[in-house]
Amino acid sequence: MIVYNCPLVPFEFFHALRIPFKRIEPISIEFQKLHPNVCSFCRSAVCSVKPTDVLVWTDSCDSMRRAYDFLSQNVSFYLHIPVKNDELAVLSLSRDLKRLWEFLKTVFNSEVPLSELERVHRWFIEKSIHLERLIEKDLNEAKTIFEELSNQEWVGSVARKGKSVLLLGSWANSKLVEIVEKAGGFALNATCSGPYSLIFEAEPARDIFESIARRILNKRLPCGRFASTRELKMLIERFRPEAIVLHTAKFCDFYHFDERLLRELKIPFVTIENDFTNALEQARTRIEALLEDTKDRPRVSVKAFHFVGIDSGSTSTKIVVVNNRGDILFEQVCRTGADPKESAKRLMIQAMKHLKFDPQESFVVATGYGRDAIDFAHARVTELTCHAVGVKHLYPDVRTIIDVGGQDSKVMRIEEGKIVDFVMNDKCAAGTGRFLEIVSSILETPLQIMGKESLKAKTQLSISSVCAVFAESEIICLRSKGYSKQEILWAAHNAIARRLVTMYERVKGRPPVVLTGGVALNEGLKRALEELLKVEIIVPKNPVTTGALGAALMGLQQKL
Amino acid sequence: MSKKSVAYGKFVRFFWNKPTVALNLLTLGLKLENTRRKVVATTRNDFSSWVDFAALSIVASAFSGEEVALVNLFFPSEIMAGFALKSVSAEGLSGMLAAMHLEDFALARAESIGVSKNTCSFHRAGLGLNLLNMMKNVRAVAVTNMLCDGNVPIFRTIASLYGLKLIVLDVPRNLDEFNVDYVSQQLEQAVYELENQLNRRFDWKKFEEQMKIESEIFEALRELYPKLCEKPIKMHLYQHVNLLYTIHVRPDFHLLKAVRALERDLKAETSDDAKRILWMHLSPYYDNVLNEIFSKDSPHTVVASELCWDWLDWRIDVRRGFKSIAEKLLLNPLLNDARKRAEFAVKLAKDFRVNGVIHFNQFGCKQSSGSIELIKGVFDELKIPFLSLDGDCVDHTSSSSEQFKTRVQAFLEMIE
Repeated sequence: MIVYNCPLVPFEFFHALRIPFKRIEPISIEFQKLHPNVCSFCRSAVCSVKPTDVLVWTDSCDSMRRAYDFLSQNVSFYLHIPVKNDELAVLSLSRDLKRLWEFLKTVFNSEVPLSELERVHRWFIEKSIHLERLIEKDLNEAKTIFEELSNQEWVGSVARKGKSVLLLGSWANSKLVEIVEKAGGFALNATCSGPYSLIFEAEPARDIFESIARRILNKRLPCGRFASTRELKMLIERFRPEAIVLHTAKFCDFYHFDERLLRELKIPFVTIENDFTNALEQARTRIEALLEDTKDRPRVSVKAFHFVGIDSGSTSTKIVVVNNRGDILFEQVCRTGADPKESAKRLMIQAMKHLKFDPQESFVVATGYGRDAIDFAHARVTELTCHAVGVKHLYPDVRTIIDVGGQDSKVMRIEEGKIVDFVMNDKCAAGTGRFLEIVSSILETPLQIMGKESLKAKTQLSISSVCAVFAESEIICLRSKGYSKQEILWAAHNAIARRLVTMYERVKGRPPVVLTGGVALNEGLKRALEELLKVEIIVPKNPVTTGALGAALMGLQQKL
Repeated sequence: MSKKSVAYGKFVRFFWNKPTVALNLLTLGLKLENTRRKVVATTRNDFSSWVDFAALSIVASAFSGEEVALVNLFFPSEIMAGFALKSVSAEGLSGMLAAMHLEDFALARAESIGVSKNTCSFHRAGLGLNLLNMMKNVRAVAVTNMLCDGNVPIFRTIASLYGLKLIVLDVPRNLDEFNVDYVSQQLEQAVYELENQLNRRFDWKKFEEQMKIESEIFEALRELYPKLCEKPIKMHLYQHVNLLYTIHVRPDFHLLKAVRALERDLKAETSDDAKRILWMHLSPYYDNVLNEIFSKDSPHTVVASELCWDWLDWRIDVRRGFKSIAEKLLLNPLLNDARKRAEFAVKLAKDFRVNGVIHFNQFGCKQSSGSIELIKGVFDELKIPFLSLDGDCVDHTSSSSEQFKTRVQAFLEMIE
């Protein structure tokens, strides 16, 4: 079996030699010997290599180079792929391809003549041209050709329904496609696990190896590793997607740079940083938020008089009930605990008791991380959309929302009541309420008063890390150096605010700015943000329930 | 990297909302510090003072209004010398910001266009500085994928900011005749592209002068190497970074003066009872606890840094011009697989008779720390203590001095 690591390989060789071949793919374990800085795709996918596999390994990125260091037991060929595409690069690659051809013939004891390789190359080119045409016409046939050429499973939608979503970036799997499809999208995969890994511009050449080298370097959509600019405009003009999911592997250095162009083109997009664990919950929320469009939401016949919004967050669950006019009738918060469904149910019972209504007289919209667990909800919407709707209801002019929750934080830019851009923190405590909880515990200062306490700081002490692990040791060190609790608290609030300001800049935030989430009640954070952003921050009377309020209002909007 | 730099950075930070003032203050600060270092180097006339001066001179030229070429650490600056452009590396600029604890502005600016915070902070801050319009007279942007492929998209973005065509040097992984031709032909092409871009001819005389200076530097270093191994001169940890930076980005007559001074330094009598450490990869450039632990006067001295010696075997042949430069790039022991790098590190460890090896894993750097387990294994077999230390050389908020301290002190106790 030939195993290759990236589609910048001469597939024609494998077909001509009639040797089974496959690409490495992430499996559910990680290769522990590789440093955690190595890209997550590589760390996992290298585990799929067996000692008996014959490797055709390209130096497609530094992570792949380092992974190769650990594969010395395999029979292998290490292929340098130039980062440029010019005559010199073609010459260099064609020489290496010739060596690879001889290597494979020797390893597999094959006498396949060059004429056979030429025939297979012509076949490959014809099929590939056909594949490009079929992407718009017949996805089922495109799938068959793609699988025949690359021996990989088709990753992407085959039936056109819903909003068209272009997947860009690094290797994506069917889990991501499922999320897009579930959110109402049709996923066209232009990552390197999709058909564009096999589509190129053919060019005349002096010999077969040069022709294959040109094919490899002339990819219609160059990978992020190449020095040339990515031809995203061409793809976007061709497919006119309604949204883009930019998928990158954690610690991949290449694809984040696409964001700059996507922002210029003003196409709704979201970046997913995949660490190839099973925790795709954040990805799901982001993709659903991207594809949600309140205007497109179907109107349904609702006989309810009570519109209930339940926001099941990581730390607390919130409920808001509004009437037909959107007046708030009831709001309540409780801890989510270990059973989000039970907490939501408890709140619902309290609301029904208080307002004296039956379940049939209500319409429930669930939001937050636990929204899928709430089985009695009539609809589910992401917390991003709900926050936007809720805050817009309270402050119609709002342009930016900064929401700081227990486990994550998000910054949303709003235009005419709709989210036009948003970012969320990644999977760490930086910039979240959890960070403040840790600081509160180290400094033995209750969460409720730590903001107020921080404002008493007399000197400006500057820390440091927003990484909870580093912050802990740093705070202990500062205490031992004799700094006051107030000074350290102020520095900690500033650190978290800096992180949020970076997110604010990323979405090009504008005032008026509304701060929501449990942490909005912290006066220290509000002041730190105001000083850094030089704008006045608005905090709603009850900043914790804006998501639930938005959910309740979303239910009201769906009423006929 | 000193407390003075941090204090000055604090002062500049105060004016950051007024970019022109902040930039002028930065330029003034660099000018003053550069003058101070020149006076110190001229007065002391020793190796490390000249190296300190040489390193800062490179960075300072980015703010002085001189015509500069923005390059990465391994791009051959000899080409830029032929166009009378001063090479400045993005890594050095990031280090300068970090020394003043001002890197957060540049990092945040890069992040604001979407660059992941998992990308190496040297390149992130380098890009951010350009996005902040801090560079004065950038005339060329050039990059090689030699040791870090994350460089390519960073420099592609930087070049686009100035509307310049990115000069790219693709370096394969093996030294052979074909690859020497391939790289040298690319250098010829780069010269052609730069001639068109700059609208001036490549000056062969200047190029050869640069090659001759380098030849003199490397010949002298090769000659002094055995003596240096026998009796290493005392240097602060950060001075090793200054040395590697100067050797790679602009080995000019300041470095030549340093090497001449080294000969004299080696003749001086010094006591040699400190434990010897080999440093691998880079070290944090901001004021940090590692610089305290490995100071000139510490009982544990860093006697060699891997990246100061990676081109020691390069025999410069001025007559062979670009082919000679191609050989320099292709013979770098870090270019190929980790075993070759380990062999080179073992040679350094044995030559310098070190008591231990510390490898600093720069956050986000895959090529240096990816297969660190393998390199550690090689040293374990030789029973040479090895510490793999994670941290960030630029972003001072993403490492903890207490964690550095505990790990390094435990390691030093181990080799006592």
